[in-house]
Amino acid sequence: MIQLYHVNMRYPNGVDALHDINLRVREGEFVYLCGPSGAGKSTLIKLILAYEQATSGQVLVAGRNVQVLKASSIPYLRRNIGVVWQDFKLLNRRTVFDNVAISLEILGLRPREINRRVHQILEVVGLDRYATTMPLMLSGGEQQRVAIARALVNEPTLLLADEPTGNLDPELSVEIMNLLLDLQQKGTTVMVATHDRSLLERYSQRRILLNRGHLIEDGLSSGGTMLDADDEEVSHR
Amino acid sequence: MNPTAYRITYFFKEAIKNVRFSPMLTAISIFTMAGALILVGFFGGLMLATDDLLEGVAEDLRVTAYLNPEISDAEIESLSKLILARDGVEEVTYISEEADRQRAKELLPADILEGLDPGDLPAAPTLEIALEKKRRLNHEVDELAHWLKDLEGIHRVAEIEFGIERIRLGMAVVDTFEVLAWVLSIVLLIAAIFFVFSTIKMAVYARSDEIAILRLVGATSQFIRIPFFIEGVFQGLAGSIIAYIAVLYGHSRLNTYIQTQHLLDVELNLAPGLLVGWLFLGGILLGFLGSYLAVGRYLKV
Repeated sequence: MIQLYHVNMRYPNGVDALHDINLRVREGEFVYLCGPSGAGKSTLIKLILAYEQATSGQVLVAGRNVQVLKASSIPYLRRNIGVVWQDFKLLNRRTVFDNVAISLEILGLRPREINRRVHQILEVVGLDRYATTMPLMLSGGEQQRVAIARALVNEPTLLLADEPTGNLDPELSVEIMNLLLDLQQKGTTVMVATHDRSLLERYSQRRILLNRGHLIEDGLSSGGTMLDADDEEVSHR
Repeated sequence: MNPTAYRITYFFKEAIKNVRFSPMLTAISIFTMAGALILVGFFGGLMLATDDLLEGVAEDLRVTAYLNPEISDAEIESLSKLILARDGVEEVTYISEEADRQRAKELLPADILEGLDPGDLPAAPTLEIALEKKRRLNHEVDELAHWLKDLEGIHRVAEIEFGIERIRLGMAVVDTFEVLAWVLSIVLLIAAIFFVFSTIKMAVYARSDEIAILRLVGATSQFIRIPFFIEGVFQGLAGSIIAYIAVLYGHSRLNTYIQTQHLLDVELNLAPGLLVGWLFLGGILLGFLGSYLAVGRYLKV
């Protein structure tokens, strides 16, 4: 589903975000993207989403080379990718329902179908009763769940989540993680960027560890020593 | 409905949301547009109506050449052919002495004719010459009259008594007025485009976060842009409707004024179909242009 070959990323301000990243995520896989703040997790997600373009190297998503993708084709790539952002990125002038429905309106679905699917997914994330509420009236955790609902509503083949449980209490975090795992069970490829140690310990999955833009470990998460770093900078190997 | 129809519904909803988000600026934009279009519509209509009136005067304008009484039919025919061959001459009509007398009889009031032998009425064989319509009110009429005077067989050429000089002056005033009105209209139309441009620019700025999010969830460039175009077209259309109502009202008031204050039996049509069509088309195009420029400049998707 995702293939990265010798990917380097340097921002216009001179910051080197990623160094020679080689990575392969298979279809239907669940992957943690770990590392401290500034490790390059968000940059990697942006490259996969064609939000940023790598300085060099190749990024392939669902068989498409993002590096050479025409600007007019990018929206169609993104329609197959659900994204949960750390800062939610919700439309604050629209209701919870509208926020979730937007992914389906873009596809031109019938209002009845949109209504059915939005209410269904809001029920899954436990927010159906807030359908007509404005996002800013909700708590951080609830807003996060709206973002998750929006990412899942069009049943994407790939789900990218940047700290999806960062604003949730432990109980809700477990619920959301179960939801993501359930999605993976149904065939969706899931990539979760996190530095939540408890999450990694609880759910043993493939873990890709980044630090200062370098890929320093790729293996199963099991609460190992590297996770002790948590928010601290991981020593470079 | 198919997906396209749902999308169109969505675009209109979004455009309405934008309008509701900045009602004040939208109102300013609509009324500036309306002001410009009223000016164009009212003066345009006035120009067209004045042109119609003057053309009506020109329609009847003929140069009358009185022929020598002893002129032969063959001479009349060759003279007619000669005149008709002249550049700009559209029609030459021969009126016999008897027909001319009959015409005079019809024109004169009955009390003058009382006791007069119709045979005593002065009459002469004449040629009535009409120039092409567009040439009837310019100096070519004078040139034609001057040329006719020197032709053999022509006794004299009637003085042109239609107040042609006054009509020419009237036309010159109308032409000058027209230029001034157009300049003023263009200035106002540019201002109207600027206001639409500013409204859309504000809407783009106000929605920049939303636009970024729409891009992230897979909205195409057209999906994001179209509501802004609709908003611009809406402003233009609203301006056109206001302008149309105002022009119609002005039309009715002006006609009433002319008929009651100046006691003229004239009905000016200040809003002919063509002008109304241009008013609406113009409003829509200007609204679209304003939004197109703003979106092109400020919406980078």
